[in-house]
Amino acid sequence: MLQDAPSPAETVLDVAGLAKSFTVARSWLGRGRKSLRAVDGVDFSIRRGETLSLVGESGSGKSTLARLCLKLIEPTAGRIQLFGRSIESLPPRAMRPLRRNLQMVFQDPFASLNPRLTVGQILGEPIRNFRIAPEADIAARVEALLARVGLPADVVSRRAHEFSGGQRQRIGIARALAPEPQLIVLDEPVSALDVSVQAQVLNLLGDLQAQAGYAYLFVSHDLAVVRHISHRVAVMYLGRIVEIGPVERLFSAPRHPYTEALLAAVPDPATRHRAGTRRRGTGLRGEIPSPIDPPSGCAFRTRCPLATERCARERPALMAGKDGHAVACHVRQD
Amino acid sequence: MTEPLLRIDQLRVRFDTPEGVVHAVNDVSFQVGAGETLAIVGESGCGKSVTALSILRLLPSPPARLAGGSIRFQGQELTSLGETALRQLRGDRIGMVFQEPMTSLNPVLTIGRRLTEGLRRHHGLSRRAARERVLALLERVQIPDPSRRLDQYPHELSGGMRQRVMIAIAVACAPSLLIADEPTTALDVTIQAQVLDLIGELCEAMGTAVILVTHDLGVVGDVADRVVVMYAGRVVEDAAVDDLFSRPLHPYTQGLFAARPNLTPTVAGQRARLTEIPGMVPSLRAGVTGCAFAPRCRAATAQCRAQTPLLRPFDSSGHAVACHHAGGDA
Ligand SMILES: Nc1ncnc2c1ncn2[C@@H]1O[C@H](COP(=O)(O)OP(=O)(O)OP(=O)(O)O)[C@@H](O)[C@H]1O
Ligand SMILES: Nc1ncnc2c1ncn2[C@@H]1O[C@H](COP(=O)(O)OP(=O)(O)OP(=O)(O)O)[C@@H](O)[C@H]1O
Ligand SMILES: [Mg+2]
Ligand SMILES: [Mg+2]
Repeated sequence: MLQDAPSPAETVLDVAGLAKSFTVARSWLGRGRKSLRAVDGVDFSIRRGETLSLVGESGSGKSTLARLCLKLIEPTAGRIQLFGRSIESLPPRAMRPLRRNLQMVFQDPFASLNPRLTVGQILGEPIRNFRIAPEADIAARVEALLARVGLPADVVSRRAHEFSGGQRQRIGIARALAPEPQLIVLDEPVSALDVSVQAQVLNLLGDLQAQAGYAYLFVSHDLAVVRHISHRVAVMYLGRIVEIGPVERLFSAPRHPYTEALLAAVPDPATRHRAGTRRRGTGLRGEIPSPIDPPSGCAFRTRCPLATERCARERPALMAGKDGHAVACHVRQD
Repeated sequence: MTEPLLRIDQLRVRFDTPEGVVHAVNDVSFQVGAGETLAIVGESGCGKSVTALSILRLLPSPPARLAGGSIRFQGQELTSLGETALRQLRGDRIGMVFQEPMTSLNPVLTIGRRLTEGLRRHHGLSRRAARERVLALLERVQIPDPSRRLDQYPHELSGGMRQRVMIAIAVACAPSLLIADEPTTALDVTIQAQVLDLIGELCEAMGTAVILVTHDLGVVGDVADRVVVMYAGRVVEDAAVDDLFSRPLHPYTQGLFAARPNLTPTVAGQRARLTEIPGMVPSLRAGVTGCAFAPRCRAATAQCRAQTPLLRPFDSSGHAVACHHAGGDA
């Protein structure tokens, strides 16, 4: 399934120096305003037919980055190009026709589907809004969408709450497919699902991509799922990408100490079964620091077993190595 | 044979709801030995929490109703035990940790108040002595800067810290049994590893047995000695962890292993399709006839649809399975 790198002409999304700060009250008493850098200068691109996954601990900025790419929130700095066209400063009106190319699937299919609407209405709306098909063809389109996500046609008249979690996620995916997008951003799309149903949805996403060449930006904290679905993976820590590269390389030869620690922390039935031993004490000490007052230099240094004095002084840049594998670490990039 | 620490026999729990009776737990039996870690795994709604909560009678009743069975802890029958005696057991000989510590920590009590309260009630310690003990406890669960934490409220702590506090409360009286219901499900993988290690170390040191409820087979492999797999309110397989991982017998257990993507794929560089378990879990609103897994099982026969398979020993190692075709003609 892994393809060769497509030509640059097939780049769907390209972001550079992307940043987002939020203004927050410093304490819960509300004294003093502070800036929180949720996303702090991020570069990457996604090509047609490619899945780029974002991983990292809670609060590392994955969802904020995903929402920036969809222009659901405005960036504080940086550039976002969709098919080579800058969209970061497009006003909503100019953005509207481009939106059909950018769709989203959320974690909680329950919360993201309007309980008053039937499945037919939920799926018909984007087809109508983006004028994908004439009114007379909408019913047939909806039926075709349902078939693509493996739901029977007779569900059109039912409402979202009548479905199981896995079925609701299929409806959420069908809704994202309705305007025939190029890029689909999926924020924890299988996190709420049981493993047996998770497998169904992951297979569906793989099949759809193989058929139609969708680009996926896939947000997940589940590294096993990420390994399965991705072509490339970006590891985030406190708003920055600390390592990015092809999935096989990143998992078999991680370079950033944070990536190593994340992988070591995953309890994996397969490795356990082979080694017959228990993981103990390979984990990371301490917790992710507050993004309001991040550590100087490399943000990871406070938990890093390799940190040197230079790491406190100088922020490491994300340096491209061979095979598109890049790491932001003073110790590991020399 | 000596009596195990905990022995559950033919436990049956029903919920009486306006829409009908929910058959949440059906004839569940298992044992936990002293110092042993037993994991209960299975998908959402299969009855893991209801089973765990039944032990200390923590389910709201109504709608919950014990419809049969026995729960013996240290030789004592719990199902007929009075409320006062049961309350004595809670937090003394049996500790509990839940998934979301925010809901089990009183938001208006400081961490210090919450912790000292239990100690003073169970052990009649003075305020000073209790505070000393609590500081020692917070240190034991590796909370940085413990004296400052005493004056903080639950919402001021991270999820991982709150779970450490819950663990401190649960193990304060060195219980014989710790019941942990998805204690790390809401936590990041690095914090999960820390919390699991912490539970493991503390319980090993005190000789505390653990019932760990989880849906994550990876976690099971890391921490459990024995595993009980539940499906639709029943135990479908019960085995030592190594036996379960090297030879899962029930088609559902096999399905769980196959459906889960692995960190280390068996065929390097190749992303095979995941093996799906078709369909979905049955509703527990009506009693199920036959094997509840039959509608999703590739090996199901007419016998499976007609007759409920009972949990029976498969070999002498204590590996038990509830499947008409396990191990052979499946
Ligand atoms: N609207 C907002 N206002 C203020 N702070 C915000 C806002 N949205 C996000 N943040 C903060 O930005 C940081 C990154 O949040 P984000 O939701 O992007 O993280 P995440 O990686 O998606 O985490 P999770 O795994 O928990 O979903 C966090 O510290 C969060 O508290
Ligand atoms: N208060 C209640 N009223 C009615 N039914 C209930 C109640 N609590 C639980 N149930 C039902 O009992 C069954 C078992 O629920 P339980 O909470 O034990 O599942 P679980 O295995 O812990 O699932 P999860 O992994 O989602 O926590 C479910 O079908 C559930 O709907
Ligand atoms: Mg998020
Ligand atoms: Mg539960």
